[in-house]
Amino acid sequence: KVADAMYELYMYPPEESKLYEEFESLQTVLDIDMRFSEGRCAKVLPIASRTYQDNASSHYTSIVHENKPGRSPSLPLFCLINQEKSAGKMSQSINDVFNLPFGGDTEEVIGDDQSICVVGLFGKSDGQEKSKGLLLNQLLKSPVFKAQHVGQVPVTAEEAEESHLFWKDQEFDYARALIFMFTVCHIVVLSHPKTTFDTSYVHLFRALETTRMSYLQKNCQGLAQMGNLPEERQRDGNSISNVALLRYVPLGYCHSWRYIRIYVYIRISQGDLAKKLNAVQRIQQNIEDQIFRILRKSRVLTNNLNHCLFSVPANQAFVHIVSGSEPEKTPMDILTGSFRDNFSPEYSEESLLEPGIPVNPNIPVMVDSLPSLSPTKNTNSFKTFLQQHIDIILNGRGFEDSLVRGTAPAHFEFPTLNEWIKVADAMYELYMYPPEESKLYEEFESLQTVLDIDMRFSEGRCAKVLPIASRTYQDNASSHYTSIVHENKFAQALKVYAQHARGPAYELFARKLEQECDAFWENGRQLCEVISLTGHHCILKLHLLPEEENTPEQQPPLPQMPHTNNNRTPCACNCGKTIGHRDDPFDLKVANYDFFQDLEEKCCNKFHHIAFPVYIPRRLSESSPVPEKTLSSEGMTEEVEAAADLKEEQDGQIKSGEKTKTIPDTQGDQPFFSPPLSLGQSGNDGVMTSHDSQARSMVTMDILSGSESIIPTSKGSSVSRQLSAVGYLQGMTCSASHPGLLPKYSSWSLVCHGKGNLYSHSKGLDQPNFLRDMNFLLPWDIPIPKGSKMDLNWPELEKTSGRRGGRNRERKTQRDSFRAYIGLEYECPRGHRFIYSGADKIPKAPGGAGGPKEGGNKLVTSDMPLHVPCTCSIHLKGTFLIPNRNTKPPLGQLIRAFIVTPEAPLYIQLNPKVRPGAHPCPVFYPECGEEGVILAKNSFWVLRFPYVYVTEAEPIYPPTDNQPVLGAKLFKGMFLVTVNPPKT
Amino acid sequence: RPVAIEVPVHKRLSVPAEMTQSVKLVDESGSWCENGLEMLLDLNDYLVVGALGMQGSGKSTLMSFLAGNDCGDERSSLIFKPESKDTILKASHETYGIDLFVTKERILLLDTQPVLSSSVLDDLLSHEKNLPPEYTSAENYADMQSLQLAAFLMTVCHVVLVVIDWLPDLSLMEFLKRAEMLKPPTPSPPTSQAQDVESSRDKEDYSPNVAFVLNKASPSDFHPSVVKEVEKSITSVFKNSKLKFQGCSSLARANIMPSLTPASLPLDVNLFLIPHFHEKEMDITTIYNNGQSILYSLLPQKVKCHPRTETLVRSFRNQIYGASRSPLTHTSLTEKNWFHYAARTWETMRKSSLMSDFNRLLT
Repeated sequence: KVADAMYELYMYPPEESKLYEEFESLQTVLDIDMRFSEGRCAKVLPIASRTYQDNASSHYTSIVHENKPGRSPSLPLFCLINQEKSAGKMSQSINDVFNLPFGGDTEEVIGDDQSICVVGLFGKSDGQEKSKGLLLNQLLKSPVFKAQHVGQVPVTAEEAEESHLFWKDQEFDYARALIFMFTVCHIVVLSHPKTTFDTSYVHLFRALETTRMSYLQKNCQGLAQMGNLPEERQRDGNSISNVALLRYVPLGYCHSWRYIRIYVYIRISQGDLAKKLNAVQRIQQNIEDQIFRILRKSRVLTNNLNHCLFSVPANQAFVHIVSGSEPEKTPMDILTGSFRDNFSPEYSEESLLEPGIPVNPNIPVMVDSLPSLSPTKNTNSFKTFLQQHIDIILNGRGFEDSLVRGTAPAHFEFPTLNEWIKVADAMYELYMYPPEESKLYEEFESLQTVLDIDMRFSEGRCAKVLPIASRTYQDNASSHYTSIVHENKFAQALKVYAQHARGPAYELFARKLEQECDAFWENGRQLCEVISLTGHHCILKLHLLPEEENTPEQQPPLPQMPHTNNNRTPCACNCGKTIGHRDDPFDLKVANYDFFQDLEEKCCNKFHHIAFPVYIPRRLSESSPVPEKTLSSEGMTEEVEAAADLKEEQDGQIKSGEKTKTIPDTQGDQPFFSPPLSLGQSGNDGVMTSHDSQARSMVTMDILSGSESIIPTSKGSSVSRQLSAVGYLQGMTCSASHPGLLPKYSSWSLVCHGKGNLYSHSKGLDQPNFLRDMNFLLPWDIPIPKGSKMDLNWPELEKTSGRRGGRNRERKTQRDSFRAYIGLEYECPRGHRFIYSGADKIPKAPGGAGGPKEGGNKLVTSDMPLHVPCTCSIHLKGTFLIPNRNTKPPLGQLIRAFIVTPEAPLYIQLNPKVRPGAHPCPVFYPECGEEGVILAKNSFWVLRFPYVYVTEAEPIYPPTDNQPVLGAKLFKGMFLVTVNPPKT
Repeated sequence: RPVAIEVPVHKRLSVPAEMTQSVKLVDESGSWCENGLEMLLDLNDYLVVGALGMQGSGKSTLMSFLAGNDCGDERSSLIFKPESKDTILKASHETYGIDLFVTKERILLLDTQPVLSSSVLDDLLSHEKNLPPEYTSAENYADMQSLQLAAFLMTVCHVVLVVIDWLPDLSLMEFLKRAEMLKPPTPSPPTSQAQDVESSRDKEDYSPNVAFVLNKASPSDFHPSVVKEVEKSITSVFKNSKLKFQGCSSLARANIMPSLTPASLPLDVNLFLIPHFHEKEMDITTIYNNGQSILYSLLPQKVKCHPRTETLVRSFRNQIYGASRSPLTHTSLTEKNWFHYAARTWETMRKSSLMSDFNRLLT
């Protein structure tokens, strides 16, 4: 009970209670440290503050405060400039930091004429905040790289190279600064955060010495310009000999963890200071020996001091290890340790030498009078160590470091600060910004090369690999090849290159390789890669078309020839009776017009044609037509007489394409040559064509009910059409082309073989190249509308058909319909032709003799594909109707439609609309307007589709992988029935 | 007359006696030693880990912990021999050549002599007469030795640990990139068919995981901003390198410190921090013997900003053991094959044209 109560009382005393106050005073009594410390600090504060204010010059830089982060390898070039103590007046001492190049007036700042000792410091630093000690950090902040390096940027090739160059530039700047320092300092201190000697300094020192020796001459000239310098100095530019002091900074006072070796040792020898010093000295001794051996053997130190970059003292220690602090053993140690960490800048005189980042390209110089030289007990401090060496200088003696007796001692200068600043300023200018033409500049360039051994290696290596890779490309190169082959070959060459090329010059030489390969290819091995309208490229060397001119800069001039790719395919003519062979077309006119026109000479010329309207160039003499008149003359219907009658006009060998041109000539009294730019207008022109003499074979193109809409359109837009500079279409009529324009030739053709009885359904089409049993048209029974006018006519009709004999016996019994035969013919690149009913996925021959019994309806009522796999490969394989799964059969393309019109008052109207690609692809149609063409009765018609489809912008290529495009089709509605007869 | 004894098949796969000490793979003169072969099996599932680092950075100590030593173990009982006090005083180094140790998890650990070391150079200088004729000076030979060592590890190891004890050492980073540059190409498998040669040509050269270990890290090093900065630097130095410096082992992946997570360290650089090993917990009896109050022992020994060393070491070990084992060559190697492959690589390394080209540039 008591304990419980007492516990409560003592542990949680109420705040107002007497006990609480007692406890508080107890706390104060116990914390003797704090009381002492507070008193002490309060006393010291004004003193410290006064110290700061006393020596303050009227204005000073903020360098000291920026000196927190260090770099590695950094450029902390502090020159500690010491005034001789003998002046004895502390009040006159100068505490100042300034930067080189020195901007101010030297007379004003430094009034003293006493000689000084200049100490330089360089090396790797490991600042208090290590992360900020990274040179990389500066790299990150550097404006050059800001954009690329901040954040996660993808690595580009250029960057790789640049970053190497950037590094090397930094290193080079560093080297130049070192040369400067080795020139203007008495003592140079190398600081290193670890108790090992960095062997890479050996290379650096040697490279520096080589450079220094070779520019000595230049150095003198530069100094001679200074004017007011002592003669002696002018004579010997390299006046100040140097001692390199290697100072190892374990930074023990803050981070004892770093000094594992020392740390471990100290723990062992705890409490025995002498022993500890011994150990440090032993390490110092050993490292000193090691370094001396290395420098001596690697000929950084030689017998002739004047040929050395620096010397080391022969009889004095030149390695100093800043030993670690006492290990932290108790919580109080931790506290004091953390206090030390926080306030370390004021901790010791060492902070004077805290390396800092110079604001490039300035080199901060710190001028200091060492405050007190009273010998401290601690003989191991860096200050004591350094002071020994400084004293030698200040006492006006030179170093006697010669390794061999009898050699001339090194010459020494003991400048005043004033002099020194002048010289250092000039040197700084000289080394940091050497004039471009000078010898020194060249020396520096060669120094840069020497230092960048990686780049030299890499360049050598890559240059060796380049021809090998290049040869890989050139080996087995055919005389000319496509850009795809070129790319592949280049990729292969690059692979060979990548296998052997190394280092930072990789990208540079990879670009060279690319240039070489490109040059090789472009120098006469380039293939003309113009793509034909069917999607195959030309296989000739790079050439021009016959009508193209060589440009003057093209050397050597390119040959002139038409494109070809040896891709000859069989193709039937307009009517289908004659087979020709066509080259893969590169030109639309050749593809869709010229080829068929050539065959026409041999075959179809004798047949009756219906020509589609085309553009006819306006004649100058008839430049003032009367459009109103022509428009009103015929109104709705337009006739285009195209060809002569089969029987009566065998001699009328006029090509259909020229027909419309020639006819007006023969009937010159008709003023119809008004601008035939529009469909309506051209129709007006064609109205009069010889309808009087050829009534029987008259073929008309009827625009049935749409004429009303067409005429206003033509009226409204006729002005703009006439104004348009290009009066015709380059490509084909399609939904994307200009609605009023016509092409110069038609890509379609419509031919009449003659009477309908030319086709025998039991035999099928009698035309070459048809696949076996696939030449049958499909019967299409056109029902007679009940109750129509035609219903009354049917007995008469039956009589008519009965006269025809037994060909269509079934038709006799079928009194409510008329029979037509229709078929869509596909032609594959191998020349195979077949009629496709759309019933099966793969076309197959109808079973049974006498041709198919039905199937025509499908053509009428549904869309038909533009491309259908040809069965030819199946036939060739011998496995009938079992497609080979590995090789897809070639595609047959819809090329012809056969129509056998019935003998009836019903007429078949053709209105083909083809979309050759998937949506959104323009729809193509012949130049017969929206309504199509009405065919004369009882005759055998062939509509030939275009071979290629080309819009104004680009060709629409057939599928390349023998896989039909789903959207490419002939729209339903091609076969229509009308009661209107063709206009005669 | 010696009789060939047929080893039964089942014995071939049986694990040989567990190793307690490392064996030499390469001796101090640079010759290959064959006795390591006895420790190896005909198995495919193994991992090779090599350590690279400057003099005194703690390679051997770290490798010992990877090999299975505990943080409390005496220095003398470590598997890989760490520096002795005498070595430290002499500013010398302890490990010569390459040491091999195989754990029972079939992890092959390679501990190496320091690279870029003044002590190694000093040794070479004292025997300058014995230098191979192709090297013009001892320091060139020392440089080339370091490069060969690094390139060798980069060829035959799955993971190369780069042990550093202060950041940043720019010359070490440069050195690593140089070694990568001089790394010999991965040999293509010997096949008669041209097609296979073709396909092997498509394959990239092997490049190992490179994991940085900041050894003897101070508490302040564990601060997220510090770790982040270091990761950034490593990323920008090795940006164009093929070495896989990401995605293997890092404090963020270990997920043992709430401030260091994959979210706060998106770079995912292989950087692990190991604090000083030898900060032994103070023995209470020592304090007592010193005449101090026993209560002191209840106070924290040291302000730490990181998990216990044991935790970190264990987590690091797990990550390294679980490193990706991408095939070293285009054909898969068993442990024994690996040994022969490594021996061959070591030989080619010394005759490599890349190396001799580079050596010629050193003046």
